[in-house]
Amino acid sequence: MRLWVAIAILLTLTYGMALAEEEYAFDLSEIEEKPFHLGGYVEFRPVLFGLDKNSTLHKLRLYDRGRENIREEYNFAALLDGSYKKGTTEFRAIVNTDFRKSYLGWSEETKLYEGYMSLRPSSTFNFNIGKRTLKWGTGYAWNPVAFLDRPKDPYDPDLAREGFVVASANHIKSFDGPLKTFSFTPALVPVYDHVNDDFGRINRLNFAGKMYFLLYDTDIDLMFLAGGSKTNRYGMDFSRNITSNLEMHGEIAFVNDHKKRFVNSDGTVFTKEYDATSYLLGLRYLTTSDTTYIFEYFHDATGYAESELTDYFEFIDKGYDTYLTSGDDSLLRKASNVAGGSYNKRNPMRDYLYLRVSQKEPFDILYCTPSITGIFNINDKSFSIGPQLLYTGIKNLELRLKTTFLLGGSYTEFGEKQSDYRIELRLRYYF
Amino acid sequence: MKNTLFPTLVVLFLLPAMACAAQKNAVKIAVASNSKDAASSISSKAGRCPHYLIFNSTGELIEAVGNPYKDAERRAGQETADFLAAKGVTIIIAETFGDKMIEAMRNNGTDYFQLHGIVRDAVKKVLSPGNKILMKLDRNLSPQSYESYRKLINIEPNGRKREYVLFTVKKGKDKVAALFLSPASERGRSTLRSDENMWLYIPNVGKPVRITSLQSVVGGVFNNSDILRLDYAAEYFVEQMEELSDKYVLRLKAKTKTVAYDKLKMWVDKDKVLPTRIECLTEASMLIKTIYFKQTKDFGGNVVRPSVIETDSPLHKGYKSVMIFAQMKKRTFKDEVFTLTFMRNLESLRQ
Repeated sequence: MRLWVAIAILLTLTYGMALAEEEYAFDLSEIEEKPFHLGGYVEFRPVLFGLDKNSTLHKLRLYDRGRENIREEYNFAALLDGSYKKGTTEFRAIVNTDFRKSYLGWSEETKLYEGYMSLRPSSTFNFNIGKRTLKWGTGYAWNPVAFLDRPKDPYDPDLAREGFVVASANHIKSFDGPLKTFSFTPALVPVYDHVNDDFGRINRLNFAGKMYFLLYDTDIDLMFLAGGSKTNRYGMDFSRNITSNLEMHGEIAFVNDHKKRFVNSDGTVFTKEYDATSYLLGLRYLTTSDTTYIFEYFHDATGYAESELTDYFEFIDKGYDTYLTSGDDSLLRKASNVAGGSYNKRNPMRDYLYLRVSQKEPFDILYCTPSITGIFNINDKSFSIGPQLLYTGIKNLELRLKTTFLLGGSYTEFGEKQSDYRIELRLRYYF
Repeated sequence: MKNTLFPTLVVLFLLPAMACAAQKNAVKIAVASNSKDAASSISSKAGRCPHYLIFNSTGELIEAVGNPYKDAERRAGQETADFLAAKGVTIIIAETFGDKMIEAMRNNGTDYFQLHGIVRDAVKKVLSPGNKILMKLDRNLSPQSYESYRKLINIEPNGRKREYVLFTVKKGKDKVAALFLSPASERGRSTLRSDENMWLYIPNVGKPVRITSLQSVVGGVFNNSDILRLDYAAEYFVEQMEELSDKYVLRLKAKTKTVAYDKLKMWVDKDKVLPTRIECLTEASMLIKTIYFKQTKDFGGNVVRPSVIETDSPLHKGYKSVMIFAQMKKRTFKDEVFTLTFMRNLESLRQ
């Protein structure tokens, strides 16, 4: 009996010691440098729309879709991120595939988000060629100075985006003194048939550049784009910690000869050309209880005035009335074509306020981050508000439940969106 | 004759060089003073004080100089810092320093202490054995410039763990960068610290965003200043030291308000001159967290230090965070590695 007790104690101790040793195991294979790397995520994202059948954008987009189930959408996505490194050279590709089941049936779209080669002969110089996102700007929701990037989705600013084919270099220099860092990033952006043909006018080789300074503990960037695919533009951004828990940032962009296309309520299309100065000012503040506030004001000088957007909505209403009475949808199709331009932007007007409040792990609920995001259109007083719950408690799995309510009067931006609300669940597994 | 001539020449050649090097490394303390007397009070204005009293490493007053920039219209702090650095001063003491003077001192590699009271007492405090122990402890914990691999584990009260593996590089007193290697959801993220500036780079988000020392990029009990830690002597000075049979107990005070913890109470192993436990405290001496140093290991290259660091906090009851070091080796880097532009290329430093 004693022997059994002794054996049991010995086994327990051995197991306990093994556990104790294992508790802090750090296997060197975890840090082994491999030339190949493949990662990414798969995602399932069902969405429920609360449609506003009286809104002008519902009339415009869904006027002939009365019978289908438009309220639901099921999205599946896979993003593959692969790289191969040899010496000072690295090849990288990010491919995204979206499958969507909507009222239009199943659709599939695969895009190369990024695919480039990097040469890094030293820590002070590197050269990159291929499709790439450069991500200029310090703003969280909007980046008027991101001349070489596709626009961010202010409702989901962290989403991966497709880049453009660019040849760029980085030269970095550090100093002692108030100027601690200087870096210069020149970039060539070819725009030809099948190469960046959605960037702007084709058959142009564009030249862009960015200079970065870390001066008196402030990040400062100066940037420009010239070459003809888009009108010449230049800008500046900055970011600085005012105190240890308060950051301030801003951007200003000057766009020469911006061409704005707009319609009046009769459907006549006008084009107006002017120099546009857009700017953004923002704050990020962290409280002692781990609440983060992000606040931004954005003036988009390329956007529409309230009267211009009202004209557009009135034209859609006229087109819809014509369709109801005669079955002729030509006016609606015309409005839809015009919408292909700036009317279709996420936020097509001029002045916006953005506020995001997120609370990390409230009531000691680990890995849970509730947040609320509001975007307020200062011009027409309409707004959207979106509570969200993010849970990351399971390794490599991210669960996000997000709702967005769109509120506003007649002929306002958020009042005329095709939905009154949307509810979205996102399950994303990283590998 | 030939046999002795060569070694004699070598010794004769080396001696002045060694003396010169010793001179260069010698501690020289300048104290902002209201008069030329070491019994006077420390001046409240580092950049515009009337005098600087300069002491050698034994605490002997060797020079009293007038501050040529006390009436300067602009840049008094920066010019004063450069003037003292040119005189070989390695430590400056004053009641308060302006931001620009702090920046100039950091650029010159000059250490500084914000103290009040009598000049002579302040010099004694800075030259105390406690501060010397703290500087030795820093070098025992890590070389000035190095690369390392660390695993961070957050342990919840129910025993559930979350692990992160980081590749870390450090240069000099104030530059640290870390790259996340796992888990997959965090891979490619990097953090950078240069002085009190901190940034986080998330691949999808794009441009690095500024973060604060009290936030935590990994959650758990370790905050950003724990993960991107600078030398203790760069941020603290020893106010008080107690000597026990096998330990020193050091009471540390933050040099500036921007440091994450106002006070530290540090237990140091006498033989190894390595920390065994640190209590992180607020200004009112409220305990924020306790850090335990365990399992001393030889990492090679004369780096012998604790390989496991645990922390718990009364503010996070039941939770524990652990940092495990797998590798640490001396390595030099260019300053450009510690810049925003380089953050997305940190992976290229792994060999």
